[in-house]
Amino acid sequence: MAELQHLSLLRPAQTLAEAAITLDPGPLATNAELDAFYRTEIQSVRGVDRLGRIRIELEDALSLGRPYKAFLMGHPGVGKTTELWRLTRSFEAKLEPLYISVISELNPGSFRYYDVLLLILVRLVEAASSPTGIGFEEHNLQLLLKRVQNCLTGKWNDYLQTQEANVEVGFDVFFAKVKGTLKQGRTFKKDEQRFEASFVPELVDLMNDVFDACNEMASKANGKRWIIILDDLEKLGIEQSPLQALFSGLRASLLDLRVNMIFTIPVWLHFSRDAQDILPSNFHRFVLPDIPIYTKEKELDLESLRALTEVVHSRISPLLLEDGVAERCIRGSGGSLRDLFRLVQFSMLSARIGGASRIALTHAESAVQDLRNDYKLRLGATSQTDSEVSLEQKLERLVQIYKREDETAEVPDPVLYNLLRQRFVLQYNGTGWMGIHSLAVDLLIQFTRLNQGAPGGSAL
Amino acid sequence: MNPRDTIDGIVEHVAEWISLNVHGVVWIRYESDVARDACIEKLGKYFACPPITFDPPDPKLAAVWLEDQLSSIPAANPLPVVCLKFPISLAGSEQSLLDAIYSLNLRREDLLQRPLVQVWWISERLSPLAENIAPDLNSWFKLHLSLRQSTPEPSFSEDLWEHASFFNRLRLEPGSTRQLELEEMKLQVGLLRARSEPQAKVDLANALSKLSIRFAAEGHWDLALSAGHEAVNHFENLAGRDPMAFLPSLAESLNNLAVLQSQIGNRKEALKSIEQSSRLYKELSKHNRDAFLPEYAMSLANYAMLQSDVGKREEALENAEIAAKLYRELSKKNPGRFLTDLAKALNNLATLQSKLGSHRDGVVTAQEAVAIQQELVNQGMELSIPDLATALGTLANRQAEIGQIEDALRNLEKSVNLRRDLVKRNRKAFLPDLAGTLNNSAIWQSKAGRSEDALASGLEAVALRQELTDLNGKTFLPDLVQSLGALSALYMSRNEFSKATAVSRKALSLILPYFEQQQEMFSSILQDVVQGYLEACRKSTTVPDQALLARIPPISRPNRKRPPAPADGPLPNPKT
Repeated sequence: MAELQHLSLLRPAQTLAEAAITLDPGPLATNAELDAFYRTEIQSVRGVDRLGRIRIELEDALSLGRPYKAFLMGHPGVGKTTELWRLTRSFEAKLEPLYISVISELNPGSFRYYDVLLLILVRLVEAASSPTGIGFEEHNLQLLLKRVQNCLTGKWNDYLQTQEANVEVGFDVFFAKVKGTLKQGRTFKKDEQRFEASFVPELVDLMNDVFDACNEMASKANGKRWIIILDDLEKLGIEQSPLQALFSGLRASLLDLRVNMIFTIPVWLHFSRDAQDILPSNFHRFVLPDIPIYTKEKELDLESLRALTEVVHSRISPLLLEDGVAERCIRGSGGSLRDLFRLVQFSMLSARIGGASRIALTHAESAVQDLRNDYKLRLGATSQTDSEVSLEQKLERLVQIYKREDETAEVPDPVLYNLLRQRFVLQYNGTGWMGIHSLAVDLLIQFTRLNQGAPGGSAL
Repeated sequence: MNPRDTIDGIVEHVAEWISLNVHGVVWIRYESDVARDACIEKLGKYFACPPITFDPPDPKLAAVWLEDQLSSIPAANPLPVVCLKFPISLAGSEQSLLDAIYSLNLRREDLLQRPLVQVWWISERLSPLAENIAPDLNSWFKLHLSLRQSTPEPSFSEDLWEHASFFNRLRLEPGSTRQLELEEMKLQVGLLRARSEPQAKVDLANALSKLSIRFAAEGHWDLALSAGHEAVNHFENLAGRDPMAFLPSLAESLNNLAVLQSQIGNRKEALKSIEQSSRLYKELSKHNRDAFLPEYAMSLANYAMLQSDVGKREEALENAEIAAKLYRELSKKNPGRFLTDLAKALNNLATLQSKLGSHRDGVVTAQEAVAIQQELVNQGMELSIPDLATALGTLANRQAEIGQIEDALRNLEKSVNLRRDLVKRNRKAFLPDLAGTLNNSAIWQSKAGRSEDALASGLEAVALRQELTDLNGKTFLPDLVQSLGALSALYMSRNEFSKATAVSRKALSLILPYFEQQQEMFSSILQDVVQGYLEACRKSTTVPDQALLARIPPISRPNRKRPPAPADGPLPNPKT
């Protein structure tokens, strides 16, 4: 995980200027931030407590001494990272987390699937051997480090260019060099045959030995076990084939690895046609659902409204909001926390510019209109090469999902993927049901696909 | 336009955001490089370094490239402010640019969490594509703004020059410049026709729309009409596929087509076009009042004049009143842009008030229109001169209707003088207006007993309209026939019946071939001509030309006499 910029103000903003700090859309990544801003009501209004289930299953796995492996999925801004931080915090007495950022530590443009394995190996050995790490006694450590080094300077030598690293310089420098090579990425000639894939089973065996050793020593030291957290595979975004290729390659290794692991992956991968073939079967899968602001019957979900109002008030004092502002922003956000923060943030700026001391409903209205315009532009956007999904197809599908008359509307296909990715379609209660963003309802009314006054829109 | 979306509005918002000293990205969509650069210039004092142009050598490594750029900026407090400009493509490829933005998505935390205030500029067209390809990146932006102003806010008079009457500006520009631009536009249209990619269709529709206005400004009416029709067809297709993006363009092209159709006398088609345009603008303004209210007002003003032309006067008056009201509202907020439109709307309203019998209201309204146009001209706005001449002509007609004939003639004289100057600058473009005003002058001078002045005006009007008809018969023949009719009436008033007979016979012989081709279009004018001819024959004891009259079907035979009426020459607004 990349190092996050932490919030410098850990209480609700008391002035409009302070709100610029507290309304940061980023995840809550420290205990202090979680204490200040996390609202447990959010979990209950998601309809299901996914993290509660992970917690129980993880607890069970730990007590049985089995590795626990899971994929966590959810749309951008839904709160995956924050929930992962909460999870590891609640297990801080039992688990030693190792956060690895595939995106930051590998070259996103060129890395191969076994680079992920190599990175996990190197980073774990490094963490376990650091003075502050929980790991080996000196003798065992030296033996294990040597074994890893031998592996990387043996069959993997050509690939990692470890010859250039002076093996005698010490393990720290050696591993730094390997990490540098992995991050830099390599380009190979088009017709160059690569054989690394055939070395992977042996690498996995080595990794398992390392995991076992690390877990054993950590357990002895303070009763903990390691958990590997890859929080940014989902950030590889929307390109299907590279990520599918990545998981096709990793599948066998992930099946065999004996360590606790939680990966975040893009939600669409879970729904893709070949998900069963490319995702390892011994990983639990959890989708972190969106927060519905309307019920299936398109009535305002008062519980969600209350929970999201709590979230708003945790970031900005209600004294700075005129009556109705929080609800206006919540309805305009469609339940997306990042959209909600954006709306309040923009309203705040408008209020400051207008010389107001509080955010008025007109400021919020203007912010919602602005966000709606963004959604409109995105809905209609077509690139020069994008002939896959037309506006008409999108509108038609949105209406179908809105009206809930045809269950096939929720069957994944390129149109639905597109709408899910762009947050026009939201998933509630995990895969339980789908709805459409309140601003998408506004747009359907605007385009006369729905009647004026159709419920579920952003208007108060 | 929402004030927030103007150059000043964007500068104000960004400056306010910078003052909050919070790291992250401000994402600004813009419609024009010129406007973007104007913002950047105004914000220049805040920037820690010159603006960075996003130009990574390898799109896939764009994030690394940008990290390097940002890393070179020394840390500071308050946070350094960095300006990043996205081009519209990388090495000519839009896809490469999108690939590069996708690469930024992968490293978004490293890029966005830096202790920097970053101001990122991206074109309006690319922004949604970038947001689609990198939704996660987008969700991290702290502030999203839209710069909708296309050019920097000019001074009051420059603003008017830009907005008040694009059509007049074209007509007033030097001939060589106009011709060169016209040739370039024709060439561009030709090149665009040969291309098949989707964007080329959009560009072609836009180019045809502009070309149509250019042709009209040059007096090439048929070419203008043809280009206008084609533009509408293209925009209809585009709007069918993407209504949000192209309905405004469709509405605009329909409005312009209506103006052209009206100018060549195709009133029913013009009415259909403007009705459709007005309906579209009304819908658009419901959804975005700030953006489309001016266009809706314009279309209503034009709609009113065209309704009046086909006799729907009460509906016309209602629309004209709404248009004037809307323009009054708009001009209070932005006089630089909308005063001239208000004056034109008032001018049209005055004519309609008169047609429904409210002559005195018509005079008051026309006086207000003249006062506004005169003030604009006094401020040095020479592009308002044609509109002032029109407003003076309208006021003169209204004054003459209530018996203020001397005031009317003075205003007509002023109008004629202004139009003569304009003709010296661009004969073809302004000749129709001068001929029309001379024609009106002849009618009122005659009624005021100034027979010699009236005859001189009438003869000159006929000569000018003959010149125009020689250039484009179908377009200007009705006007020539009307002037011949007025001249015939003038001879009659001077008891010169033989001359009246000859002139009216000429009018009849000219109009008949056109009538035979398009009866509906020319039946009204034919009736007036035949009536005048028969009256002149009777007075001059000349036997009417039976062969000529035999070509007229019975239904079109006249049964009442109508005196020649002065025309106000309403000036519908082409939208540019």
